[in-house]
Amino acid sequence: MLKFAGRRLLQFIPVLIGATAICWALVWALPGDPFRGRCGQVACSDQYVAAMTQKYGLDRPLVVQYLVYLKNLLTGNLGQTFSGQDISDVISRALPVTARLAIISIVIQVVLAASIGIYSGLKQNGIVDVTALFTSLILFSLPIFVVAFVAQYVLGVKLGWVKPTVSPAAPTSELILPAAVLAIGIMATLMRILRASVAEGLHSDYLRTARSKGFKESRVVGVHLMRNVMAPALNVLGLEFAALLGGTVIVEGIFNIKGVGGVIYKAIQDREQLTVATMVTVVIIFYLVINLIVDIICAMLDPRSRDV
Amino acid sequence: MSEPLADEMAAEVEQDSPVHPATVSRAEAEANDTRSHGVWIDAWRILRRKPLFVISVSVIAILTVMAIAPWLFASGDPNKGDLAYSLKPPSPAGWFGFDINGRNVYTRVIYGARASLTVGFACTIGTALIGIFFGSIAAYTGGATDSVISRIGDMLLGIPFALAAIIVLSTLTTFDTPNWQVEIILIMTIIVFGWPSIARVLRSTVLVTRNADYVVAGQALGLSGSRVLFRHILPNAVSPILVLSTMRVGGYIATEASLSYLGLGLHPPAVSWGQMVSDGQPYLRTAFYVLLFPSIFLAITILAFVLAGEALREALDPANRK
Amino acid sequence: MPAHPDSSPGAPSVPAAAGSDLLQVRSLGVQIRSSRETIDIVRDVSFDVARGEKVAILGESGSGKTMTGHAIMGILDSPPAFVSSGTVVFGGRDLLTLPDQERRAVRGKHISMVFQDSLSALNPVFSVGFQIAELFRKRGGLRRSEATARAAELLDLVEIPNARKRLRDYPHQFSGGMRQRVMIAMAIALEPELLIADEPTTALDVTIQAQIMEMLDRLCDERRMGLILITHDLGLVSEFADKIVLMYAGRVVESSSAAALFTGSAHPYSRALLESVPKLAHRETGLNVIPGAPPDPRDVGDSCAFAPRCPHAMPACLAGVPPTVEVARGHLSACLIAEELVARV
Repeated sequence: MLKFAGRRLLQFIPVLIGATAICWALVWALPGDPFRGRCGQVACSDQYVAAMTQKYGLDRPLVVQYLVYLKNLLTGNLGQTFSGQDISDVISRALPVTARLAIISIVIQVVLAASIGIYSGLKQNGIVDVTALFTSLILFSLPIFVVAFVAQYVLGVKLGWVKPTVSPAAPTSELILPAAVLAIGIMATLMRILRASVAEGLHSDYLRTARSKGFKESRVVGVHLMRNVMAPALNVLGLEFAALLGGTVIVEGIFNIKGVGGVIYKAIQDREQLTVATMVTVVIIFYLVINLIVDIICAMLDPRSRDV
Repeated sequence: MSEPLADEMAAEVEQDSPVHPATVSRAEAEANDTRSHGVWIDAWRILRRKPLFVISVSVIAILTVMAIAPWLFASGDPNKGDLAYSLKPPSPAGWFGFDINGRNVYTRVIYGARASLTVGFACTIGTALIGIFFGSIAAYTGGATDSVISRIGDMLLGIPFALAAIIVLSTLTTFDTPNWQVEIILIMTIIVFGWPSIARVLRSTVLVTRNADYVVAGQALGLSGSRVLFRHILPNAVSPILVLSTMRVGGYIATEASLSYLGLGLHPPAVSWGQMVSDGQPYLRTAFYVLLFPSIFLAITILAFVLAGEALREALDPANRK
Repeated sequence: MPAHPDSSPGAPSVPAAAGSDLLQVRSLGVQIRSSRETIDIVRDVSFDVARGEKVAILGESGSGKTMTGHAIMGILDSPPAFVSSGTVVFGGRDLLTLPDQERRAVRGKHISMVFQDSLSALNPVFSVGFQIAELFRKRGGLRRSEATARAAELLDLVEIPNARKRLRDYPHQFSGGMRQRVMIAMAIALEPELLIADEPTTALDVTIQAQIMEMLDRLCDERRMGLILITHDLGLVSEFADKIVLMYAGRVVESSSAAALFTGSAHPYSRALLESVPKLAHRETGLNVIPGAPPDPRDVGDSCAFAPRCPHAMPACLAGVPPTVEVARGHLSACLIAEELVARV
């Protein structure tokens, strides 16, 4: 197991480096002026450009630029927003909020998708199954921004059940609706995978062996089948995490949540390219780390993947 | 924004083991030949009868026509507005009502189909072609080339294409960038970050079927390498890719809509449903129809592709055939 | 001592005397029911297994032998398969009429099963040690550490080298033969009186087959366990079985001691089978193949199912199911000319 974790870590590092390199290239190595808009409507003064060139090493060869970038990234020197705030400060303030939102969303997803998905898998073609399948397809097809502001409008404004926008402190209770909105599209996929895994697994030979040992059906399904279902489900969760992160930009924007997504949303609106690029890069790094962790947990659950 | 990467996993589950048994005689090898085409005939027969598939494909067809020739569905200029009609509700004059600028929402919705469908189709075809190309090279040549391609693929996979699109579009485009450029940039970004998952599926399918008995038998009978590749390996590999691709179209369309919503995608004079939703947001309370109809169309478009993909997956699933 | 589910008053009283009957199957029938049709795949099957006796249920694929085994164990896939008739008496009680809980209590502890495909029959995500130890923990009332120790002993018993270490390994890390040994270990863990082995060696190499069968043979002798060996392999049967129950198209066509079947069988099907075994003498004359193929269970009606392929067939064979006659002590045959066949030799 440790060997697997070690190997995975080793594989992870080049991917991390490559991904950050790509992000860097997308901003600095492509045609375009990365400082556009920094100085208001006019082009920046020569002094400013000179200072920036010095700071980011823009007159050095590309490789050196990249290394400078990498060094900055690793030391947490992420530059500043157009209004002069340190991006690293902004992130450290915003991250806990987004983290809470993400966790609540994942909990909602897992609880709902697991209960409905597993139940549908056990009782296929029942009323729950058909309804769930139908509903999940529709929910999956609705773009997240539509769901977000419809929810905001209907539940927040019209019915007044929740506050339409989240207060700056972002207490957990107010995060539930946005988290649910975030969860919806992903929940559909998770539910279907769980249903498929359960339905397929019910016919497995190893369940027959478990029954031949005289175990109660609750143990046969609850222990023997479930363990086999968990690994693919977790895998899906990890893959869909990307969608979750992308969705936070929109959901936090609409609900005015001061998390990482919200900052990115505002930066996009304000056309602060560099801020956007830097913050998204951080999000991507975060996503890679989470994926690594999920992979390792999956290998713990399904030993067959350890030898891959 | 949705990233149906999980569907890749589902597709991988599907292409478990080749359907064909081991063959010995030439006659059987030839029979296998027709059987691999028979997969498609079988699938088509199943699909023809599924109402959901027929409906969703019809919807896609209608939307495609709408995208290519919007004037067939709506007369008038989507960008010309009469302020006198500002925010008027649906009526015979304008079936979907009018937006703040007095523009006919119905006309704009029809013209908006182009953006979504262009992105959807272009990205799907692009990722599929490039993915198949690199995937088969990687699988067939193996060795260093395989490693390099796989490593690069891993790095690109690590970056969700929606997030990459945000970086690229915000860096490279402004309000002044011509729409066609924006569109190309968006499509290229999605293709660049989307092909690795297709390539991965193709590569593993090729590797699995390459060692399958019937392929080895074919080679033993003296069938040339390329014949083996085209008649035996590729047909088997294409179906999971087809399934995977159709399932991702919805994601591409949603991504385009979301980016337009954020203000990063297409801007006037091009019409995009996402942009319409974003424009209409302030009028949610007073004139919800400005938002409602583009949202409905978005949902229907994505749903149509998702349903068609589901039907395709079920039809191509070897378990469904006798 | 923790109260244990199997020490309830309803637990079967299993006969202790050697040679006495452990299991009596009478007129067992299994059907597959769908919304469209009902198919009989096992009809009127009867046989006995004595303590320490090795009974082979022999038949080709589709003869219903596996379903018979599953029906006895109570693990039929219901739906769509159902027991339609008969009794299965074990330890003085008819298993088919027992309530669920008591039926379950018998499984694993008194009657256990070894399956054919060990890779799919073992749970891929649990270690082999876990899968053996759970029997002791859940059905044997042992603590985790004791259960693990017993599991290691069992692996030793089935001759898996490095037992203690391999407890932590997963099924896919074993070779086919080793996995089958693990399955056997699981099956004998709780010291059942009867073991049902469904094609235990079919998926293995011939040399490994011999090893596994010899081990099974030895274990049965040592523990005086009854064995039901479900197989299609004549060779296996000739070496290891005491009694043979030959099935064709869902019915028992002949049942006798192994010796009697091979020296003087009383049914055309058995004769044809024995003659179809390739011998060097056939070099010149060619293989003796039984013409035709076994019938689809749906097409089997009220007649002798083998008649279409039988060289001795008569109109009477199609008139009804041939009654079972006892041609010698313990030698039964369902054929109208059974006695003549035996007399001919």
